[in-house]
Parts: sequence; structure tokens; C-alpha cells
Amino acid sequence: MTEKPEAPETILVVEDDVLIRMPIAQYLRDCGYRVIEAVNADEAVTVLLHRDTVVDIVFSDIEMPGAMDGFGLAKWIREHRPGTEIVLAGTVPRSIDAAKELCEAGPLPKPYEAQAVHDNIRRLLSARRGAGKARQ
Amino acid sequence: MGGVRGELRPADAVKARSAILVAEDEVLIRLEIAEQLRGAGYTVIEAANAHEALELLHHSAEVKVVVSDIQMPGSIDGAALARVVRAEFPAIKIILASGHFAAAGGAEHDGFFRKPFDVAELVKHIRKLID
Repeated sequence: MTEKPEAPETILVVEDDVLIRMPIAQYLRDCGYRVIEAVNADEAVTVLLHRDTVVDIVFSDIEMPGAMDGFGLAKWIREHRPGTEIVLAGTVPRSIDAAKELCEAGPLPKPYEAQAVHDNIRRLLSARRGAGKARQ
Repeated sequence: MGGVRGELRPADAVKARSAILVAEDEVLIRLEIAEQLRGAGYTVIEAANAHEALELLHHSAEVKVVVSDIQMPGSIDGAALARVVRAEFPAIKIILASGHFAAAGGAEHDGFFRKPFDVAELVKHIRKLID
């Protein structure tokens, strides 16, 4: 029998697009992780510097507005939080693949297929594009 | 663009529970509120500003309550967000929070909390509003 960790591992999801961040964060929560959301690298650093918060994995987009992108954040983490695992994903399919791998290794059985998360994000982004056109 | 038949899709999973949308630009405060609400059994979706909150309301989960800070950066603040929610989503309850007294900017709301506040009191208030 596989031993499960007593407390769920904490993943910090860093993504500036809320319609991508929300479904991925929710998926990882449904897989049993404690998930913290950050909208950019500045917020991520604030969380990582907070003394009461232990982050095991940082799951970050690469292109982000602000002083630091995903590569800059990864460099900061290697210097200041060297024990923290970093997962960088620059596209939605890569993010989904990375989330799927984390879910399969996670504390709970997989709640639904990662493809459903991908379909959901595509639907959300397509609805946004449709709304954008309607407003023009 | 349906999901695979018979599978629980994330949107359905969110709809199955009462969702609370927390709009707060200070990440550690957003985290504290969101985690205590999750601990109380609610599904929580997080927005870092009013623009993100509107994106989530227009394109995603079934939200029952919006909890929003008033002072937030960006083109609209929490009071303006409350006015849009009241006009476009009249069934959604709105709770506003601010470090200043009487800072609701004339926006209608279903509760006002002066920061810093006890999140347990917020949970009690939400229970009264929707449970």
C-alpha cells in the first residue's frame, strides 16, 4: 500500500491569466494539493518570503507582466529558496501536461481527466474572444 | 466542445458546491480569506483585482457570493465592481471590505467588513446569506 503524506504538499501556481490560473488551481486542489495562487512573480515572491508559508512546488507561467518573468522567478527561487521544486510551463498544453503529472503523483486519486481541464480552458478563452469581438 | 462522456468536468465540480469569489489585491490577505472559506466547506475562486473578478463572473463558475476589497489597483475598484455585480448578476450577494469606515462608495452591498477583520465572522455572515 502506498503511503500518503500526512499534509498535502503545497503548490504555488503563478499565472497572470485568471481564466487559465483558476481551472489549473482547482484541478490541483481536486487532486489533493494545497494550492496558493499568485498573479505574477511579485506576488509569488511575497508568498515565498512569508515565514508561515511553506511552498513545496512553484508551478509558473513563463511570460508574465511585471519586473520578473517565469525565468526570473526560477532564478530567484534557486538563489533564495533552493529546496523548492520549480515547474515552468509556457503554453496551456504544457501546463496541462505538468498539472497531470503532479496530479498523478498527488495525495488523492485523479478526480477527472486532465483533458477536461484543457477543454474547459479552451472554452473559457474562446468565450472571452467571442465577448471581445461582440464589444468591438 | 464537450468533455468525455460520463466524466466530471471542472466546471461541473465547481457548480456542485456554493462558490465564493474573493477579489483582493494583497496576496497574503486573499490567501487567508480563501483558505478559511475553503476550510468552512466552500469552493473559492480567487481574483487579484476587479477586472479578474469580472472575467470569472462572465466566463466561469456559478458564484453565490462576491467578497471584495474596495481599494484595488486598476481601472475599477471594489465599489465599482459591486455596482456591476448588482446590475448584471442581481442574484449574487456582495460583501465589501475596506480599511476605511464608510468607504463603500455608495455601492449597495449585503455586508461590510472593516479591515482587519476576523474571517470567522465573515464565514458566519456568508452562512446567514446563502445557507
